[in-house]
Amino acid sequence: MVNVKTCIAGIFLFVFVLFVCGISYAELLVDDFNKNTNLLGGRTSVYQQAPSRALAIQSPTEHYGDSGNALMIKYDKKAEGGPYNQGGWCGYYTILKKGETYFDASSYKAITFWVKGAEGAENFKVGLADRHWDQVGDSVKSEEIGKYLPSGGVTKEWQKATIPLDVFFLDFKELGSISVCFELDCFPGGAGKGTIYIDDLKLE
Amino acid sequence: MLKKVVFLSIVINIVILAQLVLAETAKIMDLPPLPEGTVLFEEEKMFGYRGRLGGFALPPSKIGIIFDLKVFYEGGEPEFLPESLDESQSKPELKIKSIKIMYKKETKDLSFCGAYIILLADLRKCQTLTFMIKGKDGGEVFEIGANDTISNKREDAVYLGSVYRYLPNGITKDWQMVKIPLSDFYGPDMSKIYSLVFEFTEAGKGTFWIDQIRFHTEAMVDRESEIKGKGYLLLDDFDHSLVNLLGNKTNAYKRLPSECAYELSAEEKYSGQKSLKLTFDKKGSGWCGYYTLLNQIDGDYYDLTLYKSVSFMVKGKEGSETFEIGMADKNWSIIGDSLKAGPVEKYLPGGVTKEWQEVNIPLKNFGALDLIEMSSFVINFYKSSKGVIYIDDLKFYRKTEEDVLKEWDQGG
Repeated sequence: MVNVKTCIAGIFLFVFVLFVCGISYAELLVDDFNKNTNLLGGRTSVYQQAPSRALAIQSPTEHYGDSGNALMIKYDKKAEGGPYNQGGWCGYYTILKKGETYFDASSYKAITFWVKGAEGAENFKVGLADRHWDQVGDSVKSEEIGKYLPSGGVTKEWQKATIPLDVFFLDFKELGSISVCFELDCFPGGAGKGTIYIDDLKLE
Repeated sequence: MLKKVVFLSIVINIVILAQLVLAETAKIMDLPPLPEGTVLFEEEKMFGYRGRLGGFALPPSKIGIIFDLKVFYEGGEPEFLPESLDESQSKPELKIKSIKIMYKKETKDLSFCGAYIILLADLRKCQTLTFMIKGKDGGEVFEIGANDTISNKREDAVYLGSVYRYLPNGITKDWQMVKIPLSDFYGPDMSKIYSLVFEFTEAGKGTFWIDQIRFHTEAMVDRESEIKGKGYLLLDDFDHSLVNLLGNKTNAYKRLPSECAYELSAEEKYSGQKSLKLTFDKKGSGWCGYYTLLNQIDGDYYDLTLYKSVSFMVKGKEGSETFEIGMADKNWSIIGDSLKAGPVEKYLPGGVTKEWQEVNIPLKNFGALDLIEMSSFVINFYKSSKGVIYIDDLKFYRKTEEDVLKEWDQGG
């Protein structure tokens, strides 16, 4: 006769193992901004086309959680000048691919990170590039960040942004990079200047 | 019966979990296998198995690679590679062994020698290779490389530079850990790694031991933080390898009738063991010079936005030699040219002499370069003349964060 307790214990353990399996795939910390590469070993940097400009450095004074650094991005998006008199462009990117091997994100549902502004009301979009967009040196953009924040906009307090991957129509089996994009239509009149802090960039 | 089924299901789940999540640190024998369908020649299948040690040499150079019972890293965990088993026993011998490599490298008649460890592994999930190393006398030197299953067939490993790149003070008589980011192996298909290669390119002989070879899913090397701590990026000390300390290509360029030859020479040195010797003969037509790359060919360009100047030491064989200094970003690299910061006399009022002098050039003097995507540093011989110069310790000085923020506020 089967021992019912053993059987139940076995089932619990079975479920626990599946749960642990699930957890191991549920979340990937892409960058905690404590090193100068991301945690996948990928390069991180700003991109800019004059007259717009951006600067990204690690901030030890502002961080989400008890310790470590956050990423500080300063941006100065212009509305005029540069190619097609569009003011140029600027932003920040973090590379997910390794060499020519693209990153398989098909088991994840969202990009998440913590964000705050130096003044509040800063704005940007999140860009994502698969093989195609990576090869043309561009990305597909999300809506403005406020749509993915609990308060509806960047404030001086840390908030968790959650951007579902399904807002990007991309091949998630082959991702190249994630970017923070200070786009023309993020700012009244096309120009905006400010400082944001980002921490704990994850795929969930 | 049901009990057995439940027990079995638990065991199966644990095994699945173990396979799904690659251990954060893996020994050679724990690495994932080559992907199914990887093409191997019959001799590769017969000859090659994981953990096998081997050597190659063209006499008069010599090589030896064996497992050693007497010298090993104490406190480490043993790993039983197939050849390390005692053939007289059916079970692995429970003793720690290291890998001992003995070499004698001669320069005569293009003689060569090297050693390898066969991995036959998929390393895509690994980010760092570590191993412990100690030398018999200290100062032993080799280049580290890897073969994938394609390059192995043409005997053409990808080398990432000298061991000094990872141990700036070199191999000593004490155990030291070498940490290598696997991204430094630019070129091999990391899903199909056939072997890890140690090639001896500098004349000399030596004996050293390697132990505790491990592969890690974590990135354990943070070069920018090291640079930040020192305040500069040392691109080349010209001591050990013709690839620079970023692992990138260096070379001379020429268009006849002008010519330039380059070599690492012990004739003169500002620090370390050697310097870069450039022998040039610039005629009225053609061009010649030397370049060192900041990026891998077809790889990511190098971000110098946080750097303020480039510096190097120079001396001439006779004095009064002249050249101009150039740098190329992505765009200049594509058209095969560079922006020049002017002749060396602009930065050395007395010109090049027979003594070592430091040349320090603000990056802004190179004009409108895109510092986010930098490609190369160039020494260009532009005046009709003939001579020899020596260059050492090519560095890029980093801005402090205060400098960076001040520049930003000033709109720079």
